[in-house]
Amino acid sequence: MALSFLLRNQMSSKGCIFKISDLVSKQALKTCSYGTLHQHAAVDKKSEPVSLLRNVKVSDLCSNQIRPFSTSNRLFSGKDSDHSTLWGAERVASAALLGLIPAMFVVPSQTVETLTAIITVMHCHWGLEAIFVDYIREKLFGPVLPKVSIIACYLLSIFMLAGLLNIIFNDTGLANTLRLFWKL
Amino acid sequence: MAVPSLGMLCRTSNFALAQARHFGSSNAIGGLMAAASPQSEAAPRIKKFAIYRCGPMVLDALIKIKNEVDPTLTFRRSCREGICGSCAMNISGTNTLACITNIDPNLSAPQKIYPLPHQYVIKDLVPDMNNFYAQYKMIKPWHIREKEPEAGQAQYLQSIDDRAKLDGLYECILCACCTTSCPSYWWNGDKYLGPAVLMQAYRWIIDSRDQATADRLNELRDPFSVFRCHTIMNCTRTCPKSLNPGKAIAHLKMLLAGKSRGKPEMDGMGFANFAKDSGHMPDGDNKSNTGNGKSCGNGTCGIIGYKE
Repeated sequence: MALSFLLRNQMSSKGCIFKISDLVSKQALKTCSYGTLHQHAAVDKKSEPVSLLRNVKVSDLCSNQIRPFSTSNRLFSGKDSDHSTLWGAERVASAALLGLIPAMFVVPSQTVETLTAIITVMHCHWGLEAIFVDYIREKLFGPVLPKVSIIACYLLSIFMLAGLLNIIFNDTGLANTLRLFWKL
Repeated sequence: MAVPSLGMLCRTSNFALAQARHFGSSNAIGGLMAAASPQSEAAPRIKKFAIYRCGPMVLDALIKIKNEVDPTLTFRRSCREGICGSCAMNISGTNTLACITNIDPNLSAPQKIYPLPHQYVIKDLVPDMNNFYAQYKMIKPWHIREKEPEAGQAQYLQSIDDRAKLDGLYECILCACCTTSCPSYWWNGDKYLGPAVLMQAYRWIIDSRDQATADRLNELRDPFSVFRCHTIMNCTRTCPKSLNPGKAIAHLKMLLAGKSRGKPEMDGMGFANFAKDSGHMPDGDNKSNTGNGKSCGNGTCGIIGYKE
């Protein structure tokens, strides 16, 4: 158990050598008399941790070693995924909508309306997803509900896009529908 | 200052996370609420204090209370002039520094003082800053160079314009007023770095002397470290040093999205061995001290490795 922790530490953390040696020196102070400590210091540096680790109790290893390599949840929070492209896409989508929505009324065509519908849905989806991620957190709702909420968010967006496309292709079109709302 | 009244929240439990909901009754003039706490207690409570004759700042009142009324009242303070960031707390609903905030002259109601919001409280007005400091450490707030020179041998060069880019960033005192005012940080403080730390991340990324831009940015690309910022701007509003963390994060996002940091106007090392030999800056024909960093590329001022 202790060994596996140490090995994991060695694999994951660059600072592990210092941590181990730190632990070893603390442990040496605890368990060795000054004479034996002196002996250990005389031993070749490479073999020193191994010889001293035999004196280390598992409980000490846990209390000293577990915290450093579980540094933060951030490390386990999709560290590899790159959110910056998505952020860029969000800006582009928002900017595009500024042009597309007026264009939809000025030059009504199915192409422009479809484009508007898709980008609107993307825009709403990203916003909603961010809200779900922010507020429906594992800490408060357990491991299942956050994932369900994200799936629900996707379903909602698919449903919304299907509805808008239905209006565009099987009904009066997006711009006309909005005009009808205005007449109400 | 006649009879100021202060209200303070008292919490002693290490696990108290939620905002306290009960406020002290605000009837008596000179009623002053603060914390006097036994070893530990489950529910937060509020204590009122009334003081008479005191310095102008909230910190003066706190010190007066601690000296004269309740010695168990616990808060951090050090410089009492807004430069150390120790006495950050929530005063009348705003995160700020007690030492540079005037006592509310309105004496009809107690002035309410809470610890920084949404932080674990160690005691009274002392929040647990460990997460904040760990996050600060995570952004590596120091120069990272491809080749580290031997310490004390030479200086990293930086043009005056490049240095000016750090203005408004380096002044941060890490009081955590902004970070603890950020709703995103309240909800995701374990994964989102928060405005103060992100502003420092930006400060080290754009420092022309730093050479680890790509590595630093790659550390921040995940969905949580930076991108939980939704430009709420509480950070900028509350900053007791009038800095703008919100703007820094916006720039940081642009850098992450692919904007270039720009090339340093100067790089290389200056004054090799000089500091060691003489212990002071060169004078006379040295143009680097005259105010124009670009003009000293002619080798007259002891610079090595200067690039035009």
